[in-house]
Amino acid sequence: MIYLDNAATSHPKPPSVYKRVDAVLRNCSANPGRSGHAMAIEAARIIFQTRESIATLFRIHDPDRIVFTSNATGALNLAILGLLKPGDHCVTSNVEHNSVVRPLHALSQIGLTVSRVAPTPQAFADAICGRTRLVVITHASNVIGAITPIAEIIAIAHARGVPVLVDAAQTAGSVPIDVASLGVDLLACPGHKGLFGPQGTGFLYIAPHIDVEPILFGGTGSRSDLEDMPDFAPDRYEAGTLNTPGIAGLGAGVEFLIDRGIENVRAHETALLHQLMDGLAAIDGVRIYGPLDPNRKTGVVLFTIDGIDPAEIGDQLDSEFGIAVRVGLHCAPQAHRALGTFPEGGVRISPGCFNTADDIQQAVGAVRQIVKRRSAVLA
Amino acid sequence: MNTTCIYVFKSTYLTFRAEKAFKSAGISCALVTKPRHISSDCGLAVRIANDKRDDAGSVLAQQSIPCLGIW
Repeated sequence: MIYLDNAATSHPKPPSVYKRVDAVLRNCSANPGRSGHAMAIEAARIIFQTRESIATLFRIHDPDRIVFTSNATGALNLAILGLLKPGDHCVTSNVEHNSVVRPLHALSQIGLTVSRVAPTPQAFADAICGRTRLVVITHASNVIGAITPIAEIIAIAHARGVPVLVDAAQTAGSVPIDVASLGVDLLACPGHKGLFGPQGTGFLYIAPHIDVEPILFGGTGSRSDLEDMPDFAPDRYEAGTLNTPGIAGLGAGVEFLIDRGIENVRAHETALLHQLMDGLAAIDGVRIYGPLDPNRKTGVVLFTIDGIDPAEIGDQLDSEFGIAVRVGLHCAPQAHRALGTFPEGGVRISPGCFNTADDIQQAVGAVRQIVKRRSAVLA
Repeated sequence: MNTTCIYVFKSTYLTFRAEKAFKSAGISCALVTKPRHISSDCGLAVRIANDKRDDAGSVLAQQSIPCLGIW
């Protein structure tokens, strides 16, 4: 199989990730931060080391403000539900994933006002008002891969005293993110995409000056005498037993990226994007959406073929050519509405770190054959 | 007289940071369960030799690691 669905979750992982998960699950699956026996201490050390590695990769000065979650959705929900209250105003873009759209919609039912604007600095500048409590912006569209100018948007929001939550679901691990230099207030990342962790991992970074209320309550192994959650991070937000094997694998994935260099990952994916878009653009009837310059995109290409249902294209790629892609709305109906591809959606090809030029060549060849075959039927 | 002392920190994260800092500075240390007479927490603490207290204090100050107490 040729796996080209890395925007959904990355596959394969670096071999070190499999080894680390297996070793921890077999030998070190005690409860971290609770008991004091040797295995529990080693489990807690794994959690600590992963926090430190993530801080290194994202240039975060306060690793204890990295809160482990089950995915980016969990991180986004913690930030949104923990910060916003009825009566507040929030500005977000019109290309967000449902992991942002739905919690904001739920809060809008009880008095939050939401402005959805184009992902441009000017649109955000125009929408921020005195009641604005938070800006939420994706770092890159999961539908077309377009990279958002977050540095400019953060500067505009900060000038108005508004913190910014960045959804890095499509960029963490494939586009360098310098939290300290950018001044990111809240950063939500999945562990299982560009960071190469197993599914069930993710994190939210909360800057020290941001006060987020917890949305999950329970045991933390600290201040057990209190019925309130502890008042310090990360414990305040990490109720319940953590996913130690998953976080161990995430740590191995992050170490892989530190070793390889995100710039090198980015260069490889950009070269594949170039090849993919050139190949698809040369096929009659194929329509590509979003920026045509690979340097303005993450590893995502959305296309449609005139007269063929995207679902049919996906099925043929899978069953006849052994190529895995994702079709439909990609959990981002607003983005597809803005593109004019709602409700059918499109075909999304998302190469990753371990794809090769040969993979792309075969994918383009397969799309060409699907179009040719359809043309022959219609002739 | 006790030959060792126990450093207690607010969180597991800070406990591991302290352990890492002590070891980097050549201070021999061990993670132990917080003694019940110090805390009702089920968390960890760092044990070092009493004669290393001055060195340990300097390390914690240099690295801005807040300590809840020493027993």
